[in-house]
Amino acid sequence: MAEEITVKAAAPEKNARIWPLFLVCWAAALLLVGLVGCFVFYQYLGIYEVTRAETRMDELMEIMTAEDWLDKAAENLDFELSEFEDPDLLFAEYRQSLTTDQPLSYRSEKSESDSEHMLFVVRSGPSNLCRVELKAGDKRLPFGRHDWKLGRVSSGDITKSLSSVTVEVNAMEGQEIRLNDKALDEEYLTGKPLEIEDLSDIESRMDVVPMLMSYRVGPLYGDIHVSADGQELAAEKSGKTLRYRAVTGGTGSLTIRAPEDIRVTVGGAELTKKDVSDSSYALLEGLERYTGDAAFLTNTYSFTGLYTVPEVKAFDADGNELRPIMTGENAYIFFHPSDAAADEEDQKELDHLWDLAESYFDNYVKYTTRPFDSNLYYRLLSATLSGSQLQAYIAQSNAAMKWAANSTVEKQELHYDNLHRIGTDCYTCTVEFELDKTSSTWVEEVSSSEQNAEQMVFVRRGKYWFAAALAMIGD
Amino acid sequence: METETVKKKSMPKWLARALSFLGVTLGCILLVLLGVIWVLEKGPSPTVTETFTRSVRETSAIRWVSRIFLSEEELEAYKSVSSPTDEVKTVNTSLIHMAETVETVDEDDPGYELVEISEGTCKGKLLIVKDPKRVILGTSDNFGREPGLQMTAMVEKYGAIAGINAGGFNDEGGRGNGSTPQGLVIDNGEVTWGGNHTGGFHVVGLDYDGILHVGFMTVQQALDAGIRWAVSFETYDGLASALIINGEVQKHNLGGGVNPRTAIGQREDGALLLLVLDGRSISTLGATMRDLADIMLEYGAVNAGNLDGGSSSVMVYGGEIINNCASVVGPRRVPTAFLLMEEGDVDG
Repeated sequence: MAEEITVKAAAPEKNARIWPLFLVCWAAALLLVGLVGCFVFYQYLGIYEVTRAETRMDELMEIMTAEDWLDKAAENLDFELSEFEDPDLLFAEYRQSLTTDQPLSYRSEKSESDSEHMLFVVRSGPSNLCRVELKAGDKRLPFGRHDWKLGRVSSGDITKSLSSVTVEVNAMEGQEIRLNDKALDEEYLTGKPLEIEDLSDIESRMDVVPMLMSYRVGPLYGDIHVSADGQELAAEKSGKTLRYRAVTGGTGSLTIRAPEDIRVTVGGAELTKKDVSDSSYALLEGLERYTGDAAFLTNTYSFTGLYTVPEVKAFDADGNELRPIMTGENAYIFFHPSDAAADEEDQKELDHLWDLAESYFDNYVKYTTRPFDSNLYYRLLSATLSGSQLQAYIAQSNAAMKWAANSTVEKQELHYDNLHRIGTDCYTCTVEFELDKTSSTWVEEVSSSEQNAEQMVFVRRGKYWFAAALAMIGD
Repeated sequence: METETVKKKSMPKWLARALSFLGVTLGCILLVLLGVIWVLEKGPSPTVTETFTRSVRETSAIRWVSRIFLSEEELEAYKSVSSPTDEVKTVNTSLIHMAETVETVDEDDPGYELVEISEGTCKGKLLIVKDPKRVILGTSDNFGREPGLQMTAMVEKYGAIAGINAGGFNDEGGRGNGSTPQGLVIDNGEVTWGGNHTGGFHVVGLDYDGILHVGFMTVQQALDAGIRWAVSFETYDGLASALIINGEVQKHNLGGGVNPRTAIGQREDGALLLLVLDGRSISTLGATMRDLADIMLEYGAVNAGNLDGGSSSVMVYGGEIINNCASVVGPRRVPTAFLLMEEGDVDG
């Protein structure tokens, strides 16, 4: 019985010892797991430290200078430009502007990084130098870690760091506009031609009113050069816009002389009395008694400040277009048309006048280009209307004639036209010529060329026709 | 003789065992945690050691953790050491070129843009405000006497579109109620806190032209710079608020652990960047000061300043908190906030 009691009392005691033992084992197990965990964590941190991409970047920053980074970046330019910019040139300009003498630093571009690729931006002071890619290396380490090797070094989009401008150019149609030595074509037209504020009255009346073409290009980076027809233009800066005016004002001019009863149009706009700047008889002055009256009145139309070179046309009463004589750039002279519908008797007279004009002008040229020739002198005088200014001019010219041993005249072009009756006993015609003249002395030989036009007037006295006036057209 | 028998009541055995099991388990977990902390603070990764130590030191409630294995001498190394030249750096206002008056008004453009930030381990919200003059400083009433305001209340008080917390405040042991601002507060050109302090502050402020100023300055220097709205902030270890000045990262201020963060920056075109990064959650532990600076640079900041972080980091938009507030007891009360106002609501 006593033995039985002893056994029964020992059971709770044993149970009481098991629980603490369990707790000890439980604690030991927990601590062991914790210890192993800490050990693994310790190991991980050791590997983490040496496999950080930043650790690799720190190593690179130790050995690379700002110039080294920029040299590498220049090999991979990561930005797109317009056709007017040269990436290499822009990068070179950008490179010049960078601060490279300050301590280097870097920042990570986490948004473009992952476990296999890390992207960093290397900086010097406030300047971004380049973008650096680190790629996962071949060395694989526990915990999925790996080493890093240098990947692509590129410029990045440097345009984000550069100030951009928009270029606006106002030009006339037909002007050659070049931006950084490349032609601006229609692609860059804004589609909204601009009105010209100080447009002349005549141009505002033309069928096609001149407008300014407006080009717009941007954003552009770096140096900007704009030229119009080869002339470099100066920029007007307004915020981030550079404005260039290829036309600063109308500079063109136009002079038209035409008989009063001739209809003249400029760019489709018909000229009126309001456009007449001068009315005169010109070289016909003093010949009124032969010519009658207003038929001799010649209107002069002068325009300045033009933006265009408009087309000029003239028409006779029947609507026939007349051919002008050009006496200079944008200087037109119109005459009455030749009498086409002359009857047979008149035709004879006209033929005679053509011959007279040709022979008179031929003698005149010979007389004025050779040593004094009394035969020519008297021949000209006899063919010239007595009492006219022309006769007086020739009469007094003998002393002024040039002496030369030998002179030659070669007619390159000789064109008689516009023979037209302008009075009962009066005709006029024009002669356009291009002459090559050579004068020789024992000292030298002088060559010259003369291209011009003259207007001749013939007056009949009795049965005979005489030259009454001869003058350079446009003088 | 009467004998009195006193019968002792003993704890039920099952309860005693449960408690002992729990105690041993918790004790072991605590020991393991200490082991983990030891590995973090004394382990082979200086990077992790620094990040961990700074993180806990920036958090008022658990700052003591940093002292478990690290001596005072070792902790001294985490304190900010800025040179005299660092402290005189000021914002060069000529680097900010405010966008010109927009020629064509786009009615669909509200003038601001909310951007989701998800970069590496950093997650948060970025509010880009084109016109910096639309951002003002909101303040609670009666600094030092009344508690601060929760951000939603602050935004509502001013009728703002959005807002982020701004300056620091006294927060001993994490029990601060946002009543007492840290350092300087300039409210619409008036010094409302810190005016008696003769030294300088690490200021983050906006001047009358909407230009962001960050840097160390006295009250008078701040006023002379034309600062209209300002707060100041520095971390427990004395890291200043300036992250970027004139495009240059202020390296000496880039210490700091992983925590929720709030910052303000300004691009060259004047646009303000209001940034809040989450932390202390499973999805993200937070961001370092370097992370803040990197994100600010990525979005074009020329100047940027760090603001109060941790549980205070909150962005309110549309009347609601739109980031993950790290405070487990609900949004904290703060004394100051940068607020985005409706166009035309800000005088001057």
